[in-house]
Amino acid sequence: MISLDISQGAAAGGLALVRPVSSTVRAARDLREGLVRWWLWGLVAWCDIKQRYRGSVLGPFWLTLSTAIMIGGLGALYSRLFHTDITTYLPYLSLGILTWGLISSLLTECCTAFISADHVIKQIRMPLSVHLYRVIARNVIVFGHNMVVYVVVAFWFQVPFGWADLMVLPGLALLMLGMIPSGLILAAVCARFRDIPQVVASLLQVIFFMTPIMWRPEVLGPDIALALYNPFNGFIDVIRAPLLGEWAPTTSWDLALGVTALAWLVAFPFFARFRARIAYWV
Amino acid sequence: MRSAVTVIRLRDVSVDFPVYQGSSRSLKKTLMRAGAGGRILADAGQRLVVHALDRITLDIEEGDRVALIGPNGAGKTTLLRVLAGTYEPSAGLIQVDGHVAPLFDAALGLNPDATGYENIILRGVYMGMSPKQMSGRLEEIAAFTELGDYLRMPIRSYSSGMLMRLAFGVATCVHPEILLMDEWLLAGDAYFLEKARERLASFVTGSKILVLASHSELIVREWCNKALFLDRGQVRLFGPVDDVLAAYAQSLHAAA
Repeated sequence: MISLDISQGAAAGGLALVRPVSSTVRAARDLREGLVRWWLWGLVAWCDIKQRYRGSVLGPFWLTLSTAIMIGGLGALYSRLFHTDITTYLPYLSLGILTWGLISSLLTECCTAFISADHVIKQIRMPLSVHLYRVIARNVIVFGHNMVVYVVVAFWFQVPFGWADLMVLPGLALLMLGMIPSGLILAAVCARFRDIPQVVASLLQVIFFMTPIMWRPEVLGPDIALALYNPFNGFIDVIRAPLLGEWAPTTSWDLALGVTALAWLVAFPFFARFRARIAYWV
Repeated sequence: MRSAVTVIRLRDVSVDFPVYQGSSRSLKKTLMRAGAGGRILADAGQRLVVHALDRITLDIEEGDRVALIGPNGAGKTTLLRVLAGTYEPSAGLIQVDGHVAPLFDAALGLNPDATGYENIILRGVYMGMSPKQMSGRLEEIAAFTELGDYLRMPIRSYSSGMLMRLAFGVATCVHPEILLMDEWLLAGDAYFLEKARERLASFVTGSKILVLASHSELIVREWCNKALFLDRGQVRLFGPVDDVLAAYAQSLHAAA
């Protein structure tokens, strides 16, 4: 069912003048109606994952294997380089890498969320946000697989479990909430300017080393603010700290919340302004 | 809200189509141009704007089977996309009352590595059905496509005609009130076309709307009762098939 911008009068009178719905309302509607169609993006995301498995002997877990190798290798090497105890370092490192993997693959794949759905966007009317939610859902599924690595690490090094671990859920929820507006901007801008995805990919490589993932913020000594005010650290910390049995520092929460709010403040007006043009860009 | 009548109305609908090509696709070059006293370079035609549709006013009523005809680049595909709701016009008003099923591309939303059955569900879901609704119609669609055991195979192995059966089966099973088609329908084998014709015929007698873009006079006469002659984004003539086809033929001769 489609009814565009048209009041009912038009049907009866044929020429009745019509009050178009404002672009802000339509942008909000797009985001909301996209969310409501969870069965659509859920199913398509699931098909994406299944396609990655096809023809693989390991099935679902070949996605996990490369992560495991990376964490094992880096953990063994860097615990010696930093002279730290591997029993605390490896859980820290694995959570950092897993969460970073989620964030960076989300940002990378959001860049192509609209571009890769160009056929659908041009042919079938549906909320554009569906394509974004699909990318997010797909990456959350992959993250779920990869978390197996952490579970193994946690058992191996006997990281204690507790109720505080549940604080990871609001952390993840906040990451998703921040990712929707950020992904929206990236997806739209990348549809218009096709050189952005490469820029994003190379920036992410630098950020990986600048963010406390392989090292702890404390090693910076007096310059610890460099780590604490890194927004990526904020998002990683609110997911990593609870699972390590710590409380994430309030700076991390404030930072993640602030970045999320800022992203929405930028992304929503942007989306409202350019939503209708995206079909022409892809 | 929508009325019970299936209807399409366009008032002064225009679509301006920016063509981003070469360096205007690049952020770096766009910024550098802005920095370097952009006017000259911008004037050099970096950003082309095509008036794909120019003040189209049109009423399509229930029971109309409309053929879109016109030379290449006349705006047929753009108009279909506007009717499908994917292109929002740059100006003008549009009203589409009724469930629209666009049928432009046989391969749309299909996953080549998934089986025929999986793809029926996938495509149905793309067309706005829930997976549960689609499961209920799976057998009906499977029977219509007559693909039998092929439905258990990845559609990578299908011929284009087989793909089309699948797509057509799903598209018409959602019982749309408005069916929009590009002329790829022609790709079917004769037997299937006959079957599709029956299905379309029953579909049209249900007082619904069909809009079909085609170059073939034969197809137009067989399927449509009205025709719309588009030329350079404008409506040249809209009316009974015979009149419009005659006018179209005349314009072709005049051009030659």
